[in-house]
Amino acid sequence: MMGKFEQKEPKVYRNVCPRNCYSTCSMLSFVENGKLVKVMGDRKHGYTEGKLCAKGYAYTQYVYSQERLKYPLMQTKRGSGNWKRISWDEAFEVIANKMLELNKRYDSNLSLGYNSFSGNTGFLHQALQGMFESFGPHTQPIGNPCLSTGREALKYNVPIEYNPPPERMVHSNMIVLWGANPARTNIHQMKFILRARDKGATFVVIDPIFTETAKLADIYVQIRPGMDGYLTMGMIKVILQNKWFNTENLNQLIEGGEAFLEEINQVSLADVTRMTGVPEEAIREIAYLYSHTSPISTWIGFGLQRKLTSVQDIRAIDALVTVTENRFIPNGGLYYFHPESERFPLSMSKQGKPNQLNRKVNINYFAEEAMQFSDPPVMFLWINSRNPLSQDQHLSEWYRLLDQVELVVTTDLYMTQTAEMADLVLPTTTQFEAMDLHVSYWNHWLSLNQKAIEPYYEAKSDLEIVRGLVKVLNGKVADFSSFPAELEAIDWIKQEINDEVKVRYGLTSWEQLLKRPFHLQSQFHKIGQELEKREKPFIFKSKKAVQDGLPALPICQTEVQTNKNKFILLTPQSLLRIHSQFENLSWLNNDSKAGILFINETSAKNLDLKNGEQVMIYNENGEVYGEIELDKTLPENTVVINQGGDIPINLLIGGRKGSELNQAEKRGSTPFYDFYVSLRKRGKRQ
Amino acid sequence: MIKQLGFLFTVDRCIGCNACTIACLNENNQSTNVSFRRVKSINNNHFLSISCNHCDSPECFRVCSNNAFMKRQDGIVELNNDLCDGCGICLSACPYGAIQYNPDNRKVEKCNMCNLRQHKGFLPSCVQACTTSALQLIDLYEEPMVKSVTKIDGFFNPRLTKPSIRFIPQKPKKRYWV
Repeated sequence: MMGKFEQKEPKVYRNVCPRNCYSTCSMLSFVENGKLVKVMGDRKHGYTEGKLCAKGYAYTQYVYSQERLKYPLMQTKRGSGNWKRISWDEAFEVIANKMLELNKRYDSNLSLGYNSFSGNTGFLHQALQGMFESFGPHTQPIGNPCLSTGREALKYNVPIEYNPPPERMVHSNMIVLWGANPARTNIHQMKFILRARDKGATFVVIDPIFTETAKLADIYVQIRPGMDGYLTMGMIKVILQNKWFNTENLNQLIEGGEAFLEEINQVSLADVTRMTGVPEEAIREIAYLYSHTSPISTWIGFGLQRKLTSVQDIRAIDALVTVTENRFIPNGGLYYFHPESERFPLSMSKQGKPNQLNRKVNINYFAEEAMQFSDPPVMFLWINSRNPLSQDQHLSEWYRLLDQVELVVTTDLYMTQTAEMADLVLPTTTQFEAMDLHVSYWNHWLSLNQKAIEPYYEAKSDLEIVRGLVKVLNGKVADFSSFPAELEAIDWIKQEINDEVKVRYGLTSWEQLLKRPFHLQSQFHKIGQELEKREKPFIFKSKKAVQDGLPALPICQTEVQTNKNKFILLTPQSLLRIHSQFENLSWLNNDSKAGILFINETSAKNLDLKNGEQVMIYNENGEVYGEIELDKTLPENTVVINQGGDIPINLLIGGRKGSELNQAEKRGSTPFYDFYVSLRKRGKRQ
Repeated sequence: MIKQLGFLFTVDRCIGCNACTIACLNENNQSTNVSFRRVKSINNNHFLSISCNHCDSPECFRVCSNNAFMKRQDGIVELNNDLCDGCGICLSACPYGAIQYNPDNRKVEKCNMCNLRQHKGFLPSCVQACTTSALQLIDLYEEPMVKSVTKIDGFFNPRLTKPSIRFIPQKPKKRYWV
């Protein structure tokens, strides 16, 4: 009779949330009888301080949801929904046979392609990339849909990338968020901001949307979307007029500083107000604060760089931060992106020969570019850690690409819109079911992810899928793949934590990560040395920018468009999703705002639309429907609908082709916010 | 009573992230998908996170003919599920919508302030999950550290049931609209 009262303590494991999110939370998982029963934040993670977000607390449901994929599935007639359960052996057989047949048909592996990105950001999720590399030349995605416009923009102004530890924001005397909404997308940052505010710091939010974050700001400045560069130029003009900065000092540090200020001198504040919608009083106030407060933390959000022209907005904001001497300073500075993962060995992905000539496809124009190949055409496509049919632009081109491909394989946890259009769907694991290693693109923590439970039904990790397939391939054709299939997860993790990484994190062995996450040693001193080395570290007149098709100076030239019944479409993240992930969870669906189109009251009245009414949202790309919710805080020319949804809003997104872009635009992120839509009542034709 | 446990809600710290509501599901492993706690947006101006307010004069306690509700020494209003016959009268009596009907067992459920967690020295899961400390656990009998009020916009008049929740209201802020 002991059993009933002798309740066993649950086993506790260290896990890491692997979603494409700033926080990359270290978490503790509680396992009873092999089942995940609860998750908790990890107090030893200095950024999260032991908290998770709503999505994080929903992981027990995410792992055991009935909708999760359990077995490999094969679909006869793509898109028909006619799925049949198959074994892993059969799945590997189908994939291997197709790969080998195409290899024979075209005498190369160039017709084999994949598309993979950030569905899971763990280091071991590069297994698929590593396997394709091991095949020799193949068709490979390059670029970044999410943040590269801003990243490249900042590099024109100063080629040193540094995102200070975000915990330091707490010591700032002013915090300015440009187009960032951490209350929704990076909740753990908010406590540092609010603590700084409690100590007297001024908290400013500049955003077209009166976001959850904006609601808490001391000063909220609303701006028309895409006009941030103008606003910045107006502020610098005010600073210049009032001689609130040391011109001599600046000319010593900034290449092209004089030319820039000359240009700024031409700016008229009345024009800035007309373009941005920001009153002169606000421009003067923020300009005053920027030049009379120190230290200041400025954070440029990814939402601000979702237009092709955003590169100049980002350069202009960086210029403002630089001229007010807030760029590289203790307890302040510019926050954008922490490129830490690139500083690891990434050995799993590097399985190709040096200088191997892969056929590279821009991930933001993937379908368009992949369809241009004819010698040989792309005939095999593996989509992994992505749901492009919900999240990409140019969806109609995606469907056309899939039509041409002979075998489409998708790896996922749920039946996504993309998986529905695959021939073969392979079920993969959550972070609780396989080992991994993680760094964040925001905070400076390194965390190990343990295996806490056995895989759900027949799910396999990306690494195990690759290992299984490579064995089958090499069994049929010796040495077809050089991917070291004998290595297990732990072997790869040991390779990532090499001597250099150990020094950077103050580790003596990888096993220390079983006890707690480790923080990157301060890089601030090194950054100072880098700056010292350069005669003029800041470049405002950039030759590189001109080469890439941009103005030399960090100034803005965007025109405002105002057309009747044309609205700028903004599609931010939902609170309880990340992109299209978590869409299926009932815990997170109680307060769903999916399919809700937020619109200004006056604009709605002009179109005779009422709260709760169904509307068609349309443009040259197509139409989707939504439900109107009036929002008196939105600017009149802007509508907002959260991304994702059963009928993805991205059906309306897609403009210029990749081939029409200049170098800077090609290297940028997907310009999701470059699109206008019109509205009409549902059922009513024009 | 020796104390009156309750919540302190700082309006200027709530970011509306819903970590509290889902942490409640994670802790209580509810099958109904309905959290004991809810976060509401009030007038598109601020958020309000509420669960059972463990009132000083609980209506649920008053209306329940089976005496399923108990006011404990620490102020927690505890529901004894064994005594509930699922009549549902408490559902409409509670002005804060704190009681939920569970169709699986045909009984009602509500927040018990994670009293078992508290017994082990932990905070209620919602308070523990709050990343900005907008939601805190307090004893209303203790001298308050900060000045608080009993009512804010979006919260039902506290005079009827004397809910054990206090608020630190918003400070004025500057807004520049397009």
